[in-house]
Amino acid sequence: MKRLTIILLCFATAVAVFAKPPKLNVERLFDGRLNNNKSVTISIYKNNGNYYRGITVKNSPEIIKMIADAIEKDAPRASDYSDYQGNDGQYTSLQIINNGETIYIGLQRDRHGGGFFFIQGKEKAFK
Amino acid sequence: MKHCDNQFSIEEIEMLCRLYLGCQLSMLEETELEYVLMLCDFHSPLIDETRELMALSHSVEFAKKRKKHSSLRAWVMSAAACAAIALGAFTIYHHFNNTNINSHDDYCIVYVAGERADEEKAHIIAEADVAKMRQFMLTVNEQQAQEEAKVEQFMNHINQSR
Repeated sequence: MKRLTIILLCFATAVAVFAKPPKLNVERLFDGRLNNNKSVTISIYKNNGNYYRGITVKNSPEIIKMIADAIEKDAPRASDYSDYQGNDGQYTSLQIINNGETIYIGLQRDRHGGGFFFIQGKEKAFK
Repeated sequence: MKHCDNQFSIEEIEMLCRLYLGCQLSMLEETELEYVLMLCDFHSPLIDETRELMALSHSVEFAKKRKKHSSLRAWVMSAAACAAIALGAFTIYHHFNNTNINSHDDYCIVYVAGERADEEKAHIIAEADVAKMRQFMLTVNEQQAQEEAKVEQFMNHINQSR
């Protein structure tokens, strides 16, 4: 019985380790926590294996900061990172390679505490 | 009088054997007697009987050791079985994922100001968002190209000054 328990435990651990998907911090923003927020529009869109997720924020510096923090946490994994101040706001752009595919991440911040944020890539890249 | 290498006479060994059979020897003395019997070539019905008994006890010990060995083998087999099951699960999981990727289960979910939008409105908003994203990428690429051009111009200027 003891041996069987240990075998099952080993099996469960192995499955858990193999099955765990490599999550990005920015992906966690779409776990439902912002769905009922009045300041945001959330889009989750999948078409022909392309995956798109976007958040448009109006007048909410706290949410913009939360998004910016998540991007900063993922920045070390980026193969390409750029951040510049344009006439119409600040642009932050990341490219992360996962599973042989590129995930594009972008955040455009305006001067009124609002912004537009997206994650886009082939669905395989998010596995 | 015949003596073995350990300087025991056959009579002394027979006496020890008698004590062994009568269970009057300590564990240490029994071990010593075993050792002596292993080295000596003396034979008598009593000594041979003792040897046989000792061989029996040896075989019991050996059986115990074998049991331990087979227990270890069972663990190795269990570990191998676990690895095989995990590998199988991993393969099935990946196959399942790849199947999902290839399937055309497209969807569009949109929340506007805390309310879920209907399908038609969701598609309009999502497509507008995708267009916004393309514009973003275009702007970033243009900006990067401008910056690279500036760096190149700067380097050319430096090289010409030398």
